[in-house]
Amino acid sequence: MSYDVYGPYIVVVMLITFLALFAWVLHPKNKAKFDDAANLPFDDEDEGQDVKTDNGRIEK
Amino acid sequence: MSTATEHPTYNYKVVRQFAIMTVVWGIVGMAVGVLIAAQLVWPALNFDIPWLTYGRLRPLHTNAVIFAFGGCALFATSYYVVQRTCQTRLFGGGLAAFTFWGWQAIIVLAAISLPMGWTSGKEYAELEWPIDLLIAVVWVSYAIVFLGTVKLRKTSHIYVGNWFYMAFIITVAVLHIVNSAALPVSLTKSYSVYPGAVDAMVQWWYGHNAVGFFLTAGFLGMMYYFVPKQAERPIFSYRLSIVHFWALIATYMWAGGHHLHYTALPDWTQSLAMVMSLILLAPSWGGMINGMMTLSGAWHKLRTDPVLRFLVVSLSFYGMSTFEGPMMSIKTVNALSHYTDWTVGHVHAGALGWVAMISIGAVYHMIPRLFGKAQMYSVGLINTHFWLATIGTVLYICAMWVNGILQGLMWRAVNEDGTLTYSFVEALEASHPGYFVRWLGGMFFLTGMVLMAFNVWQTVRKGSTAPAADAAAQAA
Repeated sequence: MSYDVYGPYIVVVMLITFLALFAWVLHPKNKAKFDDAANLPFDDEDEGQDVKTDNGRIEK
Repeated sequence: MSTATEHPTYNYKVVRQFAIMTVVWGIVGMAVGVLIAAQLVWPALNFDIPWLTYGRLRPLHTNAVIFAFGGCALFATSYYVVQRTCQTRLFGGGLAAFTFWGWQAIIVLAAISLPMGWTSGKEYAELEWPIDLLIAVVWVSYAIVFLGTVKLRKTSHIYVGNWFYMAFIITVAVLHIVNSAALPVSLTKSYSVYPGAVDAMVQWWYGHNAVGFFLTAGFLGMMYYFVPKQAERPIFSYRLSIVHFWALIATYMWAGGHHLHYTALPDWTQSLAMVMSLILLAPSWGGMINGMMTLSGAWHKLRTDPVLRFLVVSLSFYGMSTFEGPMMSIKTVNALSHYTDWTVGHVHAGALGWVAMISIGAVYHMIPRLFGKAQMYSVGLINTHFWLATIGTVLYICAMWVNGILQGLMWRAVNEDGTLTYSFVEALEASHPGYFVRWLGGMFFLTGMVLMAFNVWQTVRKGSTAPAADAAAQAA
């Protein structure tokens, strides 16, 4: 099969892939999982090292 | 540098090594940049020594700042972020050490071979084939260490920052190996296996994806960890970050042809590259907005925290240069901008404003944590560095905008009889003030880096007066 034949379908396949991506991302069932993942940078606190010392800066 | 205690879980040694070398190579690479900028203002500065001529030092500058400074920053932050977000120790301790020493060896070989004039002539891939082979080995080792660590993770989800780092590592391996395919004729000379226009397309497929995956995806991985961490709040929208990731990596691959507008490359390839470059604006700005909005409700932190200021201003420059890029890829705009200093200015808006500033912010965030300190030796000096870097970048890019548009207009101006209005030398003479301002901007940026080196040294040296993190946290 040559590019002339399947070429136009590449765009359609990409479009469907992106729509599927959006459906997966926006599905309400997945929200909790993404919220958990968003907090991963804060789950590594060494017994609250970062929170306690706040990198040495005091909020005004 | 013996003040640091070993972390019981994480391998911080290799992170520390790469973080320190980020600062060292930053100063070296930018100093070479300032020297060649000065040579364009005062040409006598090459001292008639072949090793110091512009043509040999320019690739040394680009390789040093991209692969030595940027590369070390990416190694350091990726090893730091992947351990902390996967909550596991780095996979392959010996292999990780090999990536450090191997990468440093490559940098030293580049610093010797480029001034000698040994080059394959491919922009951003100038190094000759023996060094290319070593790069391939080190890079595959890097992939094994990083992917091995992700596989060993204690968390169920792979954090989005690691997705960006993985895309960067895997893609750069493919780009480097394909583009560097060459037939050696001696130890120091080889010829590309690709012919003519195909070689040009492969080169800019590599070249633009080096921008897209080395200088963008890698540093976005950095952004997705350090901006939330420093702002102490999770990313604005995790869902947007997923769309951002897939859209960005799916689009960047197609854009390289815009470096070859109006050349022997087939016209449809140029137009495709232009359209895909325009589409790139959407994921780029999606990511920029995601990073910026992470600060919503915490904007006041910018007043007191110069590290956060580095990170946020880097996002502003990212937004600016990812608007400028698609605009310059439009063929009619490119007809004016190509081969002028506008391109150089665009690259530096990204390189100084985005890549360097986010790396500097990330290193300032990591250094105290890596060496058991509560904070850097001097927060005031970070603030001074921030202003020097910002002023330097703005001076640089404004000078290049003026020069670029001036050159583009002078080169294309024609008299009524069709002859050129200006000779090349006239356009060059008119560019002289802009070259001086560019050199001045570079000096500002370099001075900031020297302050950073002093600040880092005062933080990590034996007997440092920087306050230690409290004992419990240090032991943890």
